[in-house]
Amino acid sequence: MSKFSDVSDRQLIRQTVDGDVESFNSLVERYHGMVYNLAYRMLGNTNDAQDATQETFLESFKSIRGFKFQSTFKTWLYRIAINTCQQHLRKSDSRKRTMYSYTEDTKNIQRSTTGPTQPDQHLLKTEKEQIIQLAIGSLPSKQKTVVTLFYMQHLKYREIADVLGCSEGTVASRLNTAISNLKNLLGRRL
Amino acid sequence: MSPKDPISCQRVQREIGVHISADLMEPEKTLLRQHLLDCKDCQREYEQMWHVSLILDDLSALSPPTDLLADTQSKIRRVHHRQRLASFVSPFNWLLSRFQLSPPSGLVNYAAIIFYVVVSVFLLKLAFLEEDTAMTLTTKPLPAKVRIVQIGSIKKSALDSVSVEDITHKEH
Repeated sequence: MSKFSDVSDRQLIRQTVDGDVESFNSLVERYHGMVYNLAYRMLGNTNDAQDATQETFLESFKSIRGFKFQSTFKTWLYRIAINTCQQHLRKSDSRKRTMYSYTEDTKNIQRSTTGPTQPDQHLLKTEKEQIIQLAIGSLPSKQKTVVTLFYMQHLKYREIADVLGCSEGTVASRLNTAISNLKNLLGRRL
Repeated sequence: MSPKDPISCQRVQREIGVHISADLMEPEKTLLRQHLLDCKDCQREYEQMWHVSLILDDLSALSPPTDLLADTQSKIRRVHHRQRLASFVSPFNWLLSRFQLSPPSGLVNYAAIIFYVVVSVFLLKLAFLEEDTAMTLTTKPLPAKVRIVQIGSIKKSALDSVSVEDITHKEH
């Protein structure tokens, strides 16, 4: 366990600004799972998710002096992570890599299920999650972001609105549109 | 508002679908809810959306790769190290990174300053003290005209024992 585990985010940020890099690394330890999950759901493949996670923390470290405590560190970090993911999404090959990754994973599942062992619940769940992940990946960026923040990061409307800088009504509306689109995309596959 | 009105159906699905918009005022919300109760199409859509919403709720959190944390922290340490180095030590930093050395930033900064001071003193000495050194090679008074007998490197001690031939009176 880190020696900073009981120290508040605010205190760790102040120590980072004073030149203690290990305080920031403690924040990385605290939030890297959260950022990785967000990046994976938004980008759809592990390589891009890892890159985006590292870029998010490097960017936040470089601009930590500009953090004015007007929001929580978590909200600020979400904003940087979402911007980083959106930059990745703009890169032309990202979607191709998602498709390739999905195809490869599906092939692996098919190979493993055709073996002597029976397909178990875990594999079925994995396949189902991959289908959902692919459907989420094909949503427009704004809808993808709200779905990820609400369902995977378990943020409330107010928190999502803070992160995205919009109203709670807009969040709800985007969520409904996203679910309606997902319903059409998934059809009867689930 | 008729249940068959497609615009109302779209609005119901967008604003009080699975997620009820917080921006809606209570009378409007009641009307849209009433539409949902009366319209079979909206009810079916709502149930399907609810099903998708439950599936999304059920998605499990992923564990990040084991080396991601250590890699990220290591990169942050490198950025921090670079930030603490003064701009004039970039050649030193390049050299250190070539040998994969990572001494403390303060040490590199001080080493660079000492290096630059030593080099500057050496260059100054070369530029301004060269002439003085040449003049102190011999203490003997030089005649007006001197015939150079041999060109080559001579030690200072050897030069003191060399007799200089005064040829001025011979020419006359």
